[in-house]
Amino acid sequence: MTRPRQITLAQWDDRYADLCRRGLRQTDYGGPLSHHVDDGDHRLTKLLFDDSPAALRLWNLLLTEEDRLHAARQAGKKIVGVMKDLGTIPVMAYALDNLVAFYPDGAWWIPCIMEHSTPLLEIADSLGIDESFCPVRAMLGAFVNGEHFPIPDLLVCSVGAVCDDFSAIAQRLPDLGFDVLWWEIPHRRAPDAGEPTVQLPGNLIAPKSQVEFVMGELDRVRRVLADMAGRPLNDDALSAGIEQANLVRVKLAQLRTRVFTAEPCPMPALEMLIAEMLAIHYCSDRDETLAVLDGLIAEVDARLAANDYGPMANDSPARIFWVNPVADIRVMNLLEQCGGRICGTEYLFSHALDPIDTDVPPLEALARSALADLMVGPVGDRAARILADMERFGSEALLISRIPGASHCALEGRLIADVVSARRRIPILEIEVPSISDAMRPTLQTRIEALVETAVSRRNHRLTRLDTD
Amino acid sequence: MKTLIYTCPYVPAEWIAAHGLRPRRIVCRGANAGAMMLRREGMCPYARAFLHTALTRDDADAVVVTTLCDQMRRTFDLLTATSSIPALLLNVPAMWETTAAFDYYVEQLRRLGRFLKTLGGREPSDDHLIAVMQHYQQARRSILGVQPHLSARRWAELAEDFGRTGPADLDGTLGDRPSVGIPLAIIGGPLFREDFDIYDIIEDNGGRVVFDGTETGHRGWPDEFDAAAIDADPLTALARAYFDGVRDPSRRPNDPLYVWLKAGCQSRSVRGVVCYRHVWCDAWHAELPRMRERLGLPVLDIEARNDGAAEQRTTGRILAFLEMLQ
Repeated sequence: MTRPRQITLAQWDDRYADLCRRGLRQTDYGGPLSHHVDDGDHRLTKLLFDDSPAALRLWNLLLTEEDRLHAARQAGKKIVGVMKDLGTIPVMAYALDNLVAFYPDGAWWIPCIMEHSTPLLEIADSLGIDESFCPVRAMLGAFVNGEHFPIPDLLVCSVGAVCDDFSAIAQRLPDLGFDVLWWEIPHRRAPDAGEPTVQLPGNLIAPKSQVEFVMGELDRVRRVLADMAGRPLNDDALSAGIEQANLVRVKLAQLRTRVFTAEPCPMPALEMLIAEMLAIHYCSDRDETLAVLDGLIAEVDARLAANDYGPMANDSPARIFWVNPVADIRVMNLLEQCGGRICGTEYLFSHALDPIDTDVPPLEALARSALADLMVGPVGDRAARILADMERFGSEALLISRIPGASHCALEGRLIADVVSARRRIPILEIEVPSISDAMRPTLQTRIEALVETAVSRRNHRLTRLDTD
Repeated sequence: MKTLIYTCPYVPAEWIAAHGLRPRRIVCRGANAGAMMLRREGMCPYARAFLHTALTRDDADAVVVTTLCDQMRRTFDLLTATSSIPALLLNVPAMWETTAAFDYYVEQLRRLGRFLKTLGGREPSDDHLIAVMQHYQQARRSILGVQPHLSARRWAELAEDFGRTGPADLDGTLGDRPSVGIPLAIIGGPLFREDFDIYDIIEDNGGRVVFDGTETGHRGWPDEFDAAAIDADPLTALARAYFDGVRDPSRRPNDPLYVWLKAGCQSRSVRGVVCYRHVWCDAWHAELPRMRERLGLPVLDIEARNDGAAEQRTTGRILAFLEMLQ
C-alpha cells in the first residue's frame, strides 16, 4: 500500500489514471479533478489534495453541485434556495422527495474557487455592495448573472439574530425580482429566573417561549414548502427527514472524532472542511453525501489500521482549533505547511453537526436545533462550545479566522479569545483571510508559524517538566 | 430615581418612566468612539461610543441594548463581560408583518418591565401608563409643532433633549429657521452629537433641512398612539406605535421605511437627500442604491468615520451637492 500523501492537481491526474487502470469505481459525477479547471475552478491548481479515492469523490461531489441542481429541475423537482440558517430548513425541504435545497450563500467561495475569473464581486460592487461587506456579497452577483446556480423556485431566509451584512444583502434580492420568504430567528438568551426552559443540542439552554416562537416560524415555512411540493409535510415526513439528517450528522461526528484525535493526522484540514460543509444541505444529494462520508470514514479507518498513515506522519504538528471558515480554502493547506493540523473546528454551523432531538415532535426538534445556532446567541456560548471541543480534541492552540467585512467578526474574535484565555493558557491567533490570500501569504505564513512554534514549544516545555518531575 | 440609558429607538421611554425610572436616550459623542481599546477594523464607531458611554457614565444605573443590529448585539456581550452594571438585551424582531413578531415584541416589553422592577421600578397601572403616554405624546407633538420654525440643528437638539430628559416646556423657544435654501432631507443612522454640525454645514451653505429622517431625528420617533386602542390595552397600543412607527432599514422586508421616507420627502418638496451613515454600518450602506431608486432623488452619501479629517471633506462634499442642486 502506498503511503497516503497530499498531492497537486497535476499529480492527481496521474493518480487518477492509475486508479482507473486498477479498476476505480466511478460515480456518475466522477472523473479527474482537473476537468473542473476547465469549468473555471482555477484555485484547484494551487491546492494540495488528499490522494485517496474517498477524497476524490468528496471533491467531485462538491464541484458538481450546479449540474446536480439543474438535473433536479429537469427531473421536475422544485429548488429551494435556503439562506443563512445553515442547517435547519434543508432538513425540512429534503423531507419532501420532490424538493431540493441548497444555500446560495455558498457562492461566497466562488471568487476563491474561480480565482476572480467570474465577475460576481464586480456585479455586487455595481449594486453598491462593495468590499466593506463579507465575501458572501458574491451571492448577489450570482443571482444577477444566473451562471452559478439555477434560480430557486423559492427563497427562504432567516432574519433577526443574523449577520447584518448578509441580511442587508438579502434585502436587495426582492428588488432584483427574487422574492424571499423571511422567517425570524430571535437572539437566543439565557432564561430569566423562574422561566420555563428547554435543553437544546450542543449543551445549550433557552427559554421555552423562544422555542415555541421558532416553532411557529418554522411552521410557516413548512406550509409554504408543502404548498410548493403539492403534498403535505406532516410530522411523519419531518421525522423521517430528521432521521436522515441525523445519519449524516452521526457519520460526520465519527469522522471528526477519529481525525481530530488520531496521532498522526489521518485526513488533511482541507478535505475535513469540505466534509463538514456537507452537513448543512448535503451538497444537494443526501444519499450521495452519506456514501461520501462512508468512504472517508473507511479511508481513515484503513489508515489508522495500517499504522503508517497521514500526510504528516513524520511530523508532530501543533494541534490547532480553527474558528470560522476561510474565504480562501488554500489557507487550510498553509496551516499544514506551517506545521499545524486541525484538532477541532467551529465553522459557524456546529448546530448542523449536532444530532437533532428525536424524543419530541419534529417541529419542536427543528426549532431547538435552529436556536442552538451558536451565531444567534451570546458570544460566550460560542466560546464555551469552543472550549469544550478544545478539551475533547486535545487542541493546543486557537486560531480565529476573521471573515473580511463580516459584521460578527469585528468583536467576536476578541471576546472568544478573552473567554478562552481566561480558562486555558494556550496561544491564540486572530487572522483575516480574503478570498484570494496569495498576496498576504508571507504574512499569514509567518503568523501561523509563530502560533505553531509557540504551541509546540509549550508542549515540549510541558513534557520536559513532566520528565523532570 | 434610577436612570436607565439606551440609544435604540425601539425602547419606549414611556414604559420606563411609567415604572418610576428615568429613561435617558443617549446621543453618543464621537469623541468617545476612539477612547476605548476597541478601535478595531469592522467595529461600528457608534456601537463603540455607546459602549464607552455605558461603561463610564456615573449617572447610569442600568443599560438597555437591543438586537437591532449585529454590532450592538455583540456590544452587549462585551458590556456584560466587562461591567457589572445591570443590563438587558431587548429582542426587537426584524420581521413586522406577522402577528407572532408583534406579540414577541410585546412580550419583550413585559420582560423589560420585569427588569425595571428589579431596579426598584413599580408595575404601572393602566391609568398611569396612559397618562405617561399622553404626556410624552403631547411633548412630541409640541416638538414637531415648532420644527417649521427652527433651524435643523436647533430642532435636533430639542429632540436630543427630549430623549435625554423627557417632556419639557418649550415656551421661549425662538425660531431660527433659515427662510430660504434648497430643501433637503437628511436620512440615516444615529448622528454623533458632534456631527450635529452637519445641519449647520447644510444650512450655512444654501440648504435647508426640511426632513430629518435620522435615527436621532424624527425617524427615531413612534407613531401617534391609537386613541381607540389605548384605553383597552395601553401596553399594546404603546408597542404598536413603536413597532410600526419606527422605520428601520433592518426590518424585513423594510418597505415601510421607504413609504415613510417617500411621503416625508414629497410632502416637503425635498430636492436632495443626504444619507448619513457610520462606517461599517451594513444596514444603511446597503440601502444607498435602493434609496436612490425608491426616492427618485439625488443622494449624497456621507460616511461618518469619526477620524477628525471628516469635517472638511464632508463640508466640501455637501457644498458640491448643493451646487449641483442649484
